[in-house]
Amino acid sequence: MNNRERDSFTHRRRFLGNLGALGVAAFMPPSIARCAENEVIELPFDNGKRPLTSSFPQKSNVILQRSRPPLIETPFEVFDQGVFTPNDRFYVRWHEASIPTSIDPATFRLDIHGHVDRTVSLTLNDLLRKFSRFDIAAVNQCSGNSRGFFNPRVPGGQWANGAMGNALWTGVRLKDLLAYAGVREKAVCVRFNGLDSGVIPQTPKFMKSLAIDHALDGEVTLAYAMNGEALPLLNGYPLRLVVPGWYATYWVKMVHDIEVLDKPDDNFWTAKAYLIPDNHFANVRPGQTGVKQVPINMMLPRSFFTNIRAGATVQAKAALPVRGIAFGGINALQKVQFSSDGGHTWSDAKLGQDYGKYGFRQWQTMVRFAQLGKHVLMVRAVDSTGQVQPSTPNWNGGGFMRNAIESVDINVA
Amino acid sequence: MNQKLNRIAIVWAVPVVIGAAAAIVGSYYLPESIAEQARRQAEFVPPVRFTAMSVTVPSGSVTFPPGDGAEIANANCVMCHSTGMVLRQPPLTMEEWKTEIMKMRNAFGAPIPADQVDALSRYLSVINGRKSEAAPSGIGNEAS
Repeated sequence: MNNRERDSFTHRRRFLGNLGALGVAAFMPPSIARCAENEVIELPFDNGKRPLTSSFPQKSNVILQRSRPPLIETPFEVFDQGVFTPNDRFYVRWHEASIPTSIDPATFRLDIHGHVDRTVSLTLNDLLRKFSRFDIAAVNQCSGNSRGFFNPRVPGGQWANGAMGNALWTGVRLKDLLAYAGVREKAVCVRFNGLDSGVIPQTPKFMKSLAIDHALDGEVTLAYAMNGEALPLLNGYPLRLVVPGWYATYWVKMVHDIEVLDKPDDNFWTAKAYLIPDNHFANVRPGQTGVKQVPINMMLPRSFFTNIRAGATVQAKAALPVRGIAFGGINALQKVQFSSDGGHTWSDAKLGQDYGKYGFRQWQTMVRFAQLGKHVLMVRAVDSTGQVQPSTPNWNGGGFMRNAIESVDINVA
Repeated sequence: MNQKLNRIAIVWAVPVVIGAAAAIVGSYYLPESIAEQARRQAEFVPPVRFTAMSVTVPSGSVTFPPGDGAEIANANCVMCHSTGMVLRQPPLTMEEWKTEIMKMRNAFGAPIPADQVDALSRYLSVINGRKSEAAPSGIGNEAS
């Protein structure tokens, strides 16, 4: 056997060996992608230690708030990487633990019934073929995003700021679907029902309603895709309601049933849950009673830092790029203002590309510090109506609608 | 004179007719522009492909830390949610835990027997509690 032959022989043997190893690996539990729940992140409030997990389907490296039913938070550094939140990092929030883990798109049906001219039952292919496609960029934010920062603390999902995400949603306008079934006169609201349910029969079925005019506004969408792909199961595969500018509690997941009602919806989740004090910032004093409560609704403007962490040390006199994301809520974002002196003076930041009034926009600015020591950076969003984020945080017992100005302390050395 | 006019007409008409015929034939047989092809393609290609989905979702922990009353929590809470939700709450006083327990019973149907509510709230305030005089309470019974 000459050298060359031996070479090719060992080569082949190594190749076969590798193939064998691959074969064995195929039958072993995936070790890197799946096992890890040993990494821990410390959210900046009491009892804020959380595992980072990749053990949920179609999700990787996300913050575990609760396994069952899943509550998963997006790590905040994800928001520095772009205005569209990747599907595998997008936060997840379910109310009730009986969630289907298998969906067959061939047998899935969307039923539209109630106060309509004709009851219809649509396949997913019907949605693709019979209706025109609608794309909209929109922020999906949990009503209780940032609840962990409430002071005094309130019970509920103890989120930091990552119970939100922005996606390009693709689907069918609800208006078109309702026109297909024909809404009858004197319809009052439209109720959406998903495939999830409670574990015990006493638990009220999770359903939400929108007023008929809202449902027909041409923006509310039944989405079959998120950032160009089918939705991850935990984000509502195959169909999810998109209610631009409204809190995510209305964005019902795994929607399979749409019912037009000729009277107000009195089901528990619409009428009794997710209530807020009836004032602009949903704001009361802790312990205050007798305030009228209404269902949560439109989102307020918010803005965040994404590349500067509290406690960071930066160099004096060096140009420091500061950036983040912002959104206007129900209204478009008009501008983002930045302060490097604890809110005494504000200057407009440069805004990134606009993908539509309901989505995130990136903002950025440059700052240079002459003085050493502690500095407080602040950012605030202004919406198209001139509404500015408040400097004092709101408070309510549900831990809803936080939108106070964000600030970070940094050290100049 | 007429003959001359006819000749001029024919000389002009022949290329026009040939050109028009070529355009009509060409529109059937010549390849379409790239942009047009892409547009037609987009009409046929669905924006998303649905595939049959089957996943497993972790069930999380269903056993509370040991202590007096842990068995009540194990018997009445974890059927609907894993223990993490309780253990990751802010520390609450016994009264505040009681409010939470009553919300679980009244709004969501948790089968906690009335005579075990006190024992359960005591247990929760031991594993994740704070002293009642420490700070004002923010606990209401609104469901969310």
